[in-house]
Amino acid sequence: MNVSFQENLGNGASYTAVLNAESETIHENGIFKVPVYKDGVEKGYFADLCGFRVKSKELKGLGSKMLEVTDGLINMARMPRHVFVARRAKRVFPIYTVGNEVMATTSGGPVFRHVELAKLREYMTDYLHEAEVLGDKGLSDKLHVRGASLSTLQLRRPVFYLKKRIAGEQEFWAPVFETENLDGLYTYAASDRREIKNEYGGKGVLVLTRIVAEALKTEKRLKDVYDLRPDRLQPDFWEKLKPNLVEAGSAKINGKDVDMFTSDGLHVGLEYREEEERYGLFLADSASELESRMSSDFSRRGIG
Amino acid sequence: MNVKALRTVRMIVSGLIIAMTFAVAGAAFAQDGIEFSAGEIAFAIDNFVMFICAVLVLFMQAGFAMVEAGFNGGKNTINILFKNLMDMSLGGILYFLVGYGLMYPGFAEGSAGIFGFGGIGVTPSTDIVADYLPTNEVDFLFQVAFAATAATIVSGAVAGRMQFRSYLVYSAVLTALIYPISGAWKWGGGFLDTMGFYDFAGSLIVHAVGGFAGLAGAIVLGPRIGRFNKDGSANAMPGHNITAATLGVFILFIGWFGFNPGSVLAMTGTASTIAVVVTAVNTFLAACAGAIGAMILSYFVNSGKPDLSIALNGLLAGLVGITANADGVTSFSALAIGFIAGLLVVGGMVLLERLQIDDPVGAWPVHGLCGIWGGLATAIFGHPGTAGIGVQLLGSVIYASWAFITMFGVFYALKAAGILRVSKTEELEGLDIGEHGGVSYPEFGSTTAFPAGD
Repeated sequence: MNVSFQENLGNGASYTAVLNAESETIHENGIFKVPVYKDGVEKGYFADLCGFRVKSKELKGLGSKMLEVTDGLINMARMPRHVFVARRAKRVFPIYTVGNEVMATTSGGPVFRHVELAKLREYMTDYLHEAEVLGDKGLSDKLHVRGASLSTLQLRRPVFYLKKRIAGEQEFWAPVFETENLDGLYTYAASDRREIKNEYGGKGVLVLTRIVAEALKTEKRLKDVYDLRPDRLQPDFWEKLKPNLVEAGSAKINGKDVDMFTSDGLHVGLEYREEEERYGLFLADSASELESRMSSDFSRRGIG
Repeated sequence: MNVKALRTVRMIVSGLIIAMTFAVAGAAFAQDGIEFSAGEIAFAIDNFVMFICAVLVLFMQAGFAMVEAGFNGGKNTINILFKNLMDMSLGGILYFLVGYGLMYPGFAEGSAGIFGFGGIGVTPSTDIVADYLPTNEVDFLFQVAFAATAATIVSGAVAGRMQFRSYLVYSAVLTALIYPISGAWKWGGGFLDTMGFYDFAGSLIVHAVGGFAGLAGAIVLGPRIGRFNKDGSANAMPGHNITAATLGVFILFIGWFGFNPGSVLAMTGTASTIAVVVTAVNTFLAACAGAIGAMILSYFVNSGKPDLSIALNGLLAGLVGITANADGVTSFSALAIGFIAGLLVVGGMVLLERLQIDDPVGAWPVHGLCGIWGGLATAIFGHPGTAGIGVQLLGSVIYASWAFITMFGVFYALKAAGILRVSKTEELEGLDIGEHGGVSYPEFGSTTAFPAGD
């Protein structure tokens, strides 16, 4: 494993660190181009490797530290494809992908392994609370999931989340990420990795949601396919989806203004979540059903 | 060492081997003008073989230590090794003082054959024992190794969360009281022996007693932190050294050739010699079949991939299963007994997971479940020594219940006293630091602190 530095290549960073871990990892080329930034306050440099920050006064020193951290991050000859971030505890937990499963290891403790990131997060959260890493249960940190780019080792937010929140039923949650080459979307749900390519254009969000919903229904974890909906959709993906929908007016549900759309018989309700600057979508077969679904979800969340 | 010195050492060793061969193979020979009778030679050979077998069984402690340490996290290594050491040291002395007398009380004619005491310690041998049976001393060495085996089975089941002082209390109770009393019911001529119950080398008496005591300990202690999720699913908690675990299983395998063939208690005479070799072959075959049975089934419970740790437990399961009957079943029966034991051990591990009982090394599936299987297989496969399936079943229920109930009481009392389980912090940082103030592998500690990004 070695590291070299290239001057700014136009990505906003001061340098690009080229980390070569070809012989240590199973990844296709094993070369990671990590942006390095100047630290104006401490007069040095820093870089983030899958959420782990490395700092040094000199580039050379930064390089050695990057190698050390990368060495620590490699597990089962892999770099993490995701991480869980506990902001308050200032901890980052790397998540590795083996086949269609995601996996997290702990030192001398359990190995968490599941096909769903959501389940893995649930198990790890319980364990880390029990181990008092995250502080008191219910009062402290949550684990936030992020994707890790295999080309730059930078963290990526989920494009949206698949969510099922129905009273009296087991909840479901799964983050959806862009694929490594940005040519599709994927998620780990219903006992498998589910991926679609970009041929669906902006409608990929709805297509993937339906694929996962059908799979969950087959596993008897979902009664109605519309109980699963895309939530916290990134604005640029909403902008890609919007041209594929037909506007169907707006409505006031529980005192909140929402826009309505249709698409091939599907009714789509849009909720703008101001605090996160993201969009929540609701799906149904008819306008009345859609309003009913939105109303009950808003009520559950104390809106209106 | 130079070549000349090496050659001298080789000559001395070769000479010793030749001398020993003559000692055990000769019909009678003179030493300092004294003639030995055939009986005296037989007596010497039988005691010599028994002594070697006792040493082999004692060596199994090393095997247990490696298996348990290897199958557990590195942060508990000192604790596990220490427990194994104390099972033999503390348990051995208590067995000498009390246990041996309880196990061989010399039940009086007409007594119920449940409890008796033959006295403290071991009566010194002064002459050839009737029928050239082993001397009390060598018999004690053989039996104390069995007692240590029964005790140390529990160590793995309670690994990673039990206080050391509580473990010493448990170990003392098991080796001084529970195991010897249960041994007396069969090997001491007690009521199960009278009823025609058969357990050649201790599938039930040694292994099921240890396995069910371990199950009691695992239940009362509760699972390790992180072993089970709220939805009932289990997380793997891999051991830190599969190499040590594998070595341990091979040591146990070798030690079992003292455990089972040694239980013939003699080597001289055609019948004894044949019994020893038949027992040895059956022991070998059952072990191999157990490993294969477990490996095959592990394909189905491990997403289509064979699991080494399960196969290792399968080998041990085969050994436990054949221990009750190795002297009197056919080779093909031994293969079947071992193979079924290999399947059972996997089933037992799955069952424990479903019940959310945390047995880190699979002590109950291997020793408890397969111990019972060994007892039942004795009748199922037509061992001539048993009075039938009914008495074998009765013996199984009695041994399992005796060990489970008594030890459940002991563990529960320790829990009530607040000294059973270590604190959460201690469990997470490892028992090596909390219980013993040491670190097993200081060289491998992480020196890098990773700060998080935003």
